[in-house]
Amino acid sequence: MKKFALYFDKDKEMEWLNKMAQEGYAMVDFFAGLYTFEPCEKGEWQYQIDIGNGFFGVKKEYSDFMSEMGIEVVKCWGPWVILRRKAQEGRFELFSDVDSQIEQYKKILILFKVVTGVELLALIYEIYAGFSGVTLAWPIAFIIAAFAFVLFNVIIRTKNILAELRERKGEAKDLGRTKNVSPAVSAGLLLNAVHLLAADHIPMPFRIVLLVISLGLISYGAIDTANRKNRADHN
Amino acid sequence: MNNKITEKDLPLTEAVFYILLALRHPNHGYGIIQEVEEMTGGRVTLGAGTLYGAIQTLEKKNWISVYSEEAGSRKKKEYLITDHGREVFLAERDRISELSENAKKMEV
Repeated sequence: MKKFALYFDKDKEMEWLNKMAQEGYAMVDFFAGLYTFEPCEKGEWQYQIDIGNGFFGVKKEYSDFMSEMGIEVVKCWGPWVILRRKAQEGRFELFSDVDSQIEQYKKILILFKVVTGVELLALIYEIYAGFSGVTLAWPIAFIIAAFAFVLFNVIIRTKNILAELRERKGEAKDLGRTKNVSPAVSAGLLLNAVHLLAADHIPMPFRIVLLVISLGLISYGAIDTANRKNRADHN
Repeated sequence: MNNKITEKDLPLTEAVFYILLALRHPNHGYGIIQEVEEMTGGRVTLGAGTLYGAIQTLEKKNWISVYSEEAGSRKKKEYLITDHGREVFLAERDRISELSENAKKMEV
């Protein structure tokens, strides 16, 4: 069985893989968002995700070490490492103390900062191309912008988790949590990209409806985000 | 290599403390996890990721070193605490003794 899913949050991805394993589907392969599952006994496997140090898989030393613990490296995808272990061997948790959890989320934060940086450069390039009249540059710019907001949210979420972990360790309290950007912003930007892409193929009134909806979504998202910030300030 | 104990080295995290203790004799990854679990009556179960990260760091700091490496396709490594690691551990033990000595003041 194959399933398509995009996860930018390793905790949610892990939850999903474990839920699938509970239902009798063990993840065995991954390629660009396409997960391959094989039937297994219900709850036979427990999955965990580690973030490696390189972009090109893990060292042999790492997989040897893990296999000594009965842990199988299922798939490496960039720095993402998907691991599993038979559930009968007990609770499978990679990081048992706050310190190593902090290290893990620090790595994730750096990773997403780099990706977002590259993304923003691409966005600037596409906007420049759009103004120079290159075809498709604008729709692509909107898609990249939508994606950038998703990445911002991952960064904000990771920062909040780090702040929480540090608080648990008794380190300095952070100054107020930042709230996420509303997903409506990304949805609006994507819809606007669709509107631009389909411009020549759909009748005018329909185009206007699409444009209005996407602008509506973006402004709703902006207001929603602002309200979230206010709520956070009040707390 | 600079082997002086610095302020940054102490206190040790609980995980590092027990890993060093489990490496007073040659031990491999799974052995460390088991020994620490036994010593703490099941309270501390080291995660594989936590242990892997700690071993990498401790090796870099020269507190532990590879003692033996199994031949074959899957290289099971045994580690052992170094003299410097022992020094750090003993400094930590003194610190903890002071803590528990002072803690007695709470008893009435």
